[in-house]
Amino acid sequence: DNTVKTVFHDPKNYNVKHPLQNTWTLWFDNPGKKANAASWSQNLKEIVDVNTVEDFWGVHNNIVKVNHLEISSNYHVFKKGIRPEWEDAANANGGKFSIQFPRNRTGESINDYWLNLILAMLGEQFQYEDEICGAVVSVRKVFYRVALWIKSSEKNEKIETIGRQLKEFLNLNTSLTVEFTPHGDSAAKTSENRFTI
Amino acid sequence: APSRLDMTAIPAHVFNESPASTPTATTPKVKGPPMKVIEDFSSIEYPPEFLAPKARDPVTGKISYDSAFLKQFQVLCLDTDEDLSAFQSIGGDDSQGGHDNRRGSNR
Repeated sequence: DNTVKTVFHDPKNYNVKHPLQNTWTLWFDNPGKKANAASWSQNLKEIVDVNTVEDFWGVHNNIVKVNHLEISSNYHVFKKGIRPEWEDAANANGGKFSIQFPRNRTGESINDYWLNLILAMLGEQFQYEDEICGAVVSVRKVFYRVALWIKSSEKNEKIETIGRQLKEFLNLNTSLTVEFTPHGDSAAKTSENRFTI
Repeated sequence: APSRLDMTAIPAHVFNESPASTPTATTPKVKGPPMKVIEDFSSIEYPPEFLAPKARDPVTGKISYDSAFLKQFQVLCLDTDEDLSAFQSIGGDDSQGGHDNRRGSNR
């Protein structure tokens, strides 16, 4: 039987998958209480690469949902070859858009926010997809934080478009703000390169 | 009438659906050769009850999928041949099975 069968034709015995434009790596870390730089790097674990839609869902359906992760853990989904660290060449001059969701009012919805962000990335829905490095979801005591890491950090039309699209893809309540922070800038609270959308 | 059973002494992990088995007890996943991927999207006829992808940009050749298309796979691709055993103990709610004080009080 040589007919080409996708998962929509035969979910059990399909013989062809849907390729993604990029290969993506899923990372996980939970530095726990000893959260210094050295232990963070050691705790960062590369879990799996996916380069098809089918493989992405197979993994996503079999890992712990964000709302069940331990406090202080993070999932990272980055383009293959980019480590989810500021020091990586792709991130060195970059920054991130981030959104905080209060845990008590967010609950399980965090799973959908995170999923919608990953799907927009893997499906290459961002207009300037070359700018995209990856995304992170962080579980903290009182909030969840979702962040989109991009390659550059100068406020311009490109970056603002990505920020607006991020809000749109996450279906964000308009009262929530999306903050842009250049990497390495978190201590400088008055940085002129920070902005919100 | 019978009173409620006092189950406070039973650790929370006992009630979880999936037993806290050790990763070593499971058979390692065996990965087959990678499956072919679609080259020519126009050659695929999608069943009418599903959304078809726009897929490849005719000019740039870039592959993109919108979220509505991607979400259709969620209920179809339930298994993986990836080894996710390193992931088995990361859940905050059902790993470890310890007796810390948070357990029970915040459920």
